[in-house]
Amino acid sequence: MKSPKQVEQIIGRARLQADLATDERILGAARAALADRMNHRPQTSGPGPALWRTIMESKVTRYSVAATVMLAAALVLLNPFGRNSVVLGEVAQKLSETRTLMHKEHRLAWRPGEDKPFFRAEVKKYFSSDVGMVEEQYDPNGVLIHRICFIKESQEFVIVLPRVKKYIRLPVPDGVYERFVAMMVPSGLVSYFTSQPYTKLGRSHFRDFEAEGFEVPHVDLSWVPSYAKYLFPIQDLTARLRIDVETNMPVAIEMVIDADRGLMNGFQKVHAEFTAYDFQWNAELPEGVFDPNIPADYTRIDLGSMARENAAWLGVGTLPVVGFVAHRRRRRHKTLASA
Amino acid sequence: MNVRPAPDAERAALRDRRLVHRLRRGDTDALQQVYHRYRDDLLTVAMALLNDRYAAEDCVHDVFVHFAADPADLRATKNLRGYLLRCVANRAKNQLKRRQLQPVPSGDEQDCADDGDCPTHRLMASEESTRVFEALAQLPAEQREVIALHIHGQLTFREVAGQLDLSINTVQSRYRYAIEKLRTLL
Repeated sequence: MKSPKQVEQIIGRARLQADLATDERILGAARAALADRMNHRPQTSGPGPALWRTIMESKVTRYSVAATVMLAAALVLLNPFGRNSVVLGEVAQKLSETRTLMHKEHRLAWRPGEDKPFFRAEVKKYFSSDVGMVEEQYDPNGVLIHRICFIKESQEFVIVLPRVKKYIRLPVPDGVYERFVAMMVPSGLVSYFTSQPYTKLGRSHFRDFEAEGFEVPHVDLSWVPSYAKYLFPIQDLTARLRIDVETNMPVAIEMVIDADRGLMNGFQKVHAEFTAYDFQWNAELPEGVFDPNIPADYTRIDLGSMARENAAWLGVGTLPVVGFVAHRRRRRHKTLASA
Repeated sequence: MNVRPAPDAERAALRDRRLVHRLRRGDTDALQQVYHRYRDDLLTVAMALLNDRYAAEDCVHDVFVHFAADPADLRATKNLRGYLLRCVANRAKNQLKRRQLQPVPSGDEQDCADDGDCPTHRLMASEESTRVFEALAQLPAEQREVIALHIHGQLTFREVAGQLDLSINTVQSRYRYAIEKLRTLL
């Protein structure tokens, strides 16, 4: 029998080497992916890097802002319009026939009385009624802020936070996954727009589309649990839907949010506007987009029993907790390092 | 205690950061350099974990495509090699989990047409290497992972422990058990 040292040497000599054809296949695909990324980079405009750097250097806002907008998005996605009556029937019918969706979203947030937004982000979202949902939020420089995956197969919720090199995995309780994702995939959008009385905004141009606008002002949020209101107290939320008059499909979904002082928005009042656009219905989604693919050096955040108990409020409870825990741990590490 | 990285490691880290920086700007030459620098290590680790050349090549293919499409930020790639190894290991684990695929001991002998497009013919491994990969396939997945990352990935036990979210003692004991078993197989 060989010694452990000899065995290690034998294993170490084992190699698999690629030849030119393998190189060509892998490099060709990687080059294409690189070119695709360069052609579809988010546009940066306005006070980008300098402003962003200033915001991110603020300990208070650094994570809470990101968490705030995520929470607001989750609140809106869960039930923005109620489910009472059927309106926009043809749109609803068309949406119900779609299985996948890719779209972008622009997110801005202001402090009261300030003209310039202190937070900007570009978001890419991928939905599949069969697989789940992925959201990627980028800063104005195109750097990934967070990646959130709802994975149907494993029934789990994964958030990857590259800035702090951390991730979180949470199992999703029975029934919650279906409820949450059903509201995010195209068929779920149907119920968003089959709801409370709305106001017609008339026709307007949105990007290259002539669109008919609908608005639901003062969305009812009475169903939001009290602890979520403490975390992010939304005072008012208005949702707008813009439908292309030619195709009868949505070209924009806008959400305007006013929030009072809460834990997750750094105890400051916030006005936020999200605009979802560039919808690609039944799109062929990028391969592997639903794979969390967590890098080697990322550490896991254990949210503990509190978050698990509140897992029924995924998207309302966990998202802000992530920002908060990441912020606290970072502070703790810094404190220890400087001690 | 912090161990100061050797100057070579520092130079390599700096070089990698420059490459990632160039890559983020769309430099295909940087992409090529990263690929050529790490492809064999990544292929070997993928093969050690999957013992399937098709799957190993696909795994590395997916990692590079994903990396090119979305290069991690500079802070996340202080150790580009470790990052790519982790990506390969994660993907390999996902593949095994998804397909409930147990590594096939005779991964080298899958049928395929005798053409240049078949990974069996394209990817090259010596007879001894093939024997090693087959022996590794007989280990439990968690031991195989430690062996692949420590020996083929050239990561320290501490780095392996960090990557797998395990204690260093667990990693070392898995490694010892694996080596003991391999002594009887090789």
